[in-house]
Amino acid sequence: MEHIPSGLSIVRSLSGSQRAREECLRGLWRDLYPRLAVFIRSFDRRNEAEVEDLAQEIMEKIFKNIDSYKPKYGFSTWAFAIARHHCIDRSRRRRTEPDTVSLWDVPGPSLPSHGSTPENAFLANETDARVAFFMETLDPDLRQLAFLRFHQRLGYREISRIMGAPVGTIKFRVFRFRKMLLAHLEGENA
Amino acid sequence: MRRANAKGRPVDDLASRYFESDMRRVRAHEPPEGLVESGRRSPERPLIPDGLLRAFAAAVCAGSIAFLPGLMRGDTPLREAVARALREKTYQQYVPNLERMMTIIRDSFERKETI
Repeated sequence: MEHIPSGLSIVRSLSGSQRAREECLRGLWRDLYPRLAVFIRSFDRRNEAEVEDLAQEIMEKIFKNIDSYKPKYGFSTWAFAIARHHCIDRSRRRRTEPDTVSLWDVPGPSLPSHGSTPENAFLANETDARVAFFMETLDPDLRQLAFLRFHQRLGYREISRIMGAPVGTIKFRVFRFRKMLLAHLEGENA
Repeated sequence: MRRANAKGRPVDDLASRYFESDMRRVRAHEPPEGLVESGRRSPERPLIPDGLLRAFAAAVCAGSIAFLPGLMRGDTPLREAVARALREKTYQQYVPNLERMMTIIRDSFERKETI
């Protein structure tokens, strides 16, 4: 897994030459974009094009506000907090809008599956398939929490800042997630 | 059928693998043009097709606002742009100035595009 540079080194690069700043922003884009895309999908089961649009909007917001970033918090924490607020905001607006299809959303050709895609290989593993089923039916908040804790390996305090919930609540939710997943897997195996 | 041994594998790793697999599906993207240099995206495509914009503007100018929701069913940002133009309540003075109404809607839409 790639790692986002430390907050302090980001701030130094941003205050350097224009070239250093651009290189820093490009590096951040490469590191952050895939994480944001998965983070967004954890929250809201959007289609791929919508996730890409949303991830780009969030990256743009991050770049626009990057000079206000203070390195006393981890950069990931700051960026994911922006992403979460943006997701919530979009989700609220979406609920008040009729279900529409964008004019630009031209469906592409559907390609036949040859059974050898990484996705199929993944699903071939029984346990992983069960985990996937569990995740798909999980509460979005809990799924996002699981992403931050188990994939991004963020601390409880950082997750608490991103999710806007007390540390104790986050710990309890992580505990509950583990218990639920284990129960789901054991139930399947019984 | 072979049973998976869930107990033998920490659930944390299983959860992590699920997200890792999701991350592998994310397509690599370069930053949109202009974003790194100026902090803003350059428009990559015409924001509103001219014919469509003309149709909306004509509907507004003609006072056929009732038709607008149906016309705009396909595109939320455009619907919002037209709604904002309507909210400004300035359209009446431009009737039947179609070109002017088109400009109002286009400007409103582009303002929305600037985050």
